[in-house]
Amino acid sequence: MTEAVLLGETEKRIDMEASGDVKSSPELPLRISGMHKRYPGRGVVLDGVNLEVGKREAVALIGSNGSGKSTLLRCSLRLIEPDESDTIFLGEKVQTLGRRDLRALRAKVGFVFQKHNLVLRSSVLTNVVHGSFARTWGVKAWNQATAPKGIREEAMYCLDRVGLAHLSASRADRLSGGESQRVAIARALMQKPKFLMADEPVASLDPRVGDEVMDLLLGLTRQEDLTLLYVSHNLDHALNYADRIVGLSDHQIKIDAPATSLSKSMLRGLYGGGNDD
Amino acid sequence: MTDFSVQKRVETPGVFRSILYILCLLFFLWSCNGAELSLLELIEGIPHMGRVAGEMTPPDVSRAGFVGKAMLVTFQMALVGTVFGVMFSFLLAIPAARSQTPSRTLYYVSRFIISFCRSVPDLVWAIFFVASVGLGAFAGTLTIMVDTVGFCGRFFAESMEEVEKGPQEALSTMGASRMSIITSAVVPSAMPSFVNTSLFALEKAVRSSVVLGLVGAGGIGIELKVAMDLFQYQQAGAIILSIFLLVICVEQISSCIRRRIM
Ligand SMILES: Nc1ncnc2c1ncn2[C@@H]1O[C@H](COP(=O)(O)OP(=O)(O)OP(=O)(O)O)[C@@H](O)[C@H]1O
Ligand SMILES: [Mg+2]
Repeated sequence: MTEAVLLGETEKRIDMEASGDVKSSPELPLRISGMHKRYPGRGVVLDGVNLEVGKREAVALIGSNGSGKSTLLRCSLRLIEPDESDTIFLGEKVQTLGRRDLRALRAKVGFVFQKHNLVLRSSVLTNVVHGSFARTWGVKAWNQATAPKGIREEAMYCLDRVGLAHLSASRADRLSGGESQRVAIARALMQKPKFLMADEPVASLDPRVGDEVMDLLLGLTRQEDLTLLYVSHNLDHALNYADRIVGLSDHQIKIDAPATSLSKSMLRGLYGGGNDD
Repeated sequence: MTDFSVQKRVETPGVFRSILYILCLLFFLWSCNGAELSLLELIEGIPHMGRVAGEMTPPDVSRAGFVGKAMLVTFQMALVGTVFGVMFSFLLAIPAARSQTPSRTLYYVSRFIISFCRSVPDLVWAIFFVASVGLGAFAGTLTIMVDTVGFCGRFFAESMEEVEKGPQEALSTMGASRMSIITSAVVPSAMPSFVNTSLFALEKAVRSSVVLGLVGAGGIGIELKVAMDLFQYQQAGAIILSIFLLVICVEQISSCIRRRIM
């Protein structure tokens, strides 16, 4: 079923781009050009990486441990400062943004981590309310108790989207791994994001729950007309839950192709010794 | 067979170390002299201790109402001083936490204030405040406040430093301000430690508010001193007994609260 949705949506995207949006140039939510990053002591991690992510596209980023996937995601939002990069993210030239504008940009990007990173001693609802930090001020997003009615209702709606409305009053440290990750996704939805990024969102979940969370992530991406870029070490996930797969190796992008044109064995080459293909 | 040597049971110290050890020992012996340590006086004193303790019993409860009122004031000083002290500690702890401080200068300034509050003993603060705001409970309350800042400021800052980084990173990635991250991620996570430290501060404050009266900073201490100076040992006994009860009560209540929040 997922694949049917996938194909349908991909075609729709291509159609949309063909017919052309209102704006003259095809609007790419994310365009990274010439990203360089070296860590002192570690050496070069990214060496002139170029990556484009189209509107409503779901892109899986794969690559061996230490190949720089997390660095790439973080550098695109300057959570880590790249040494050199010309990134256009949601229409903003990321490298030129000041503190405030950078925060405004980050607010538009929902970021899901491998570890859910919830505030454990706060309630589930409070954690979701936190997602509204960038569009509220004062105490409104501090806690569910201080949040205005509208924000609380929105947070409940987001929780409902991930199927956890009934747990809104539980403390976050009482949740299972899968539930925690769902709450983290609800929190990201609360940001009203235009773009979702996820760094190994299901790496610490069991296979069944991992599939469920990937289903949820891609489903929401489709329903909310979002764009998704996620990192995964699971090749089945990459093949099933993405329109396009991007493979990082030797500091550069070595694979960039539609998921339907790739197979597991082709992707395995990325991890082996000789992968000049 | 491989040749290996078993470590010696006791390493023989080198010349430099031996001299250092001997110097330390000599200093300690000299200190015993300075501290007027005397077995003879201790032995001679024991009967007197018994006599004084005997004269305290039975405690004179005829002025129970008066003593009770003074005890209440003592506790109130401790409570108010601790509450305000905890509030100031919290404000100072934010810049004093390495991970939360907005600037290095503020970090050092706030660390210095906290250390200064801590390193000056409470009786010295009490003398200072009695001289500046006059005799009475207010001087004592200020003393407790400053003492609490010295104690809590440091522990609050340390617990903020130790809080898990993940949630803070998540909030900052969402575009939350530094202030929001502190209120929504750092404080909730550090709360058990804050409460725990504050309760210890209260226990400490109750004990010190008892003695602050000795220098005229309000509370029961002055009554105890007057009773002792006038050889009214039975009254002094009643006061000591009530101090004991107050301290025990506060400790019991605070350990009960502590068990609940942990
Ligand atoms: N802050 C840092 N300082 C120094 N080196 C770093 C830092 N962060 C990452 N690195 C190094 O950069 C390389 C790329 O790290 P990165 O986390 O981006 O890899 P990754 O592809 O996400 O790996 P994984 O699949 O294990 O998550 C690694 O070798 C890592 O050791
Ligand atoms: Mg990584």
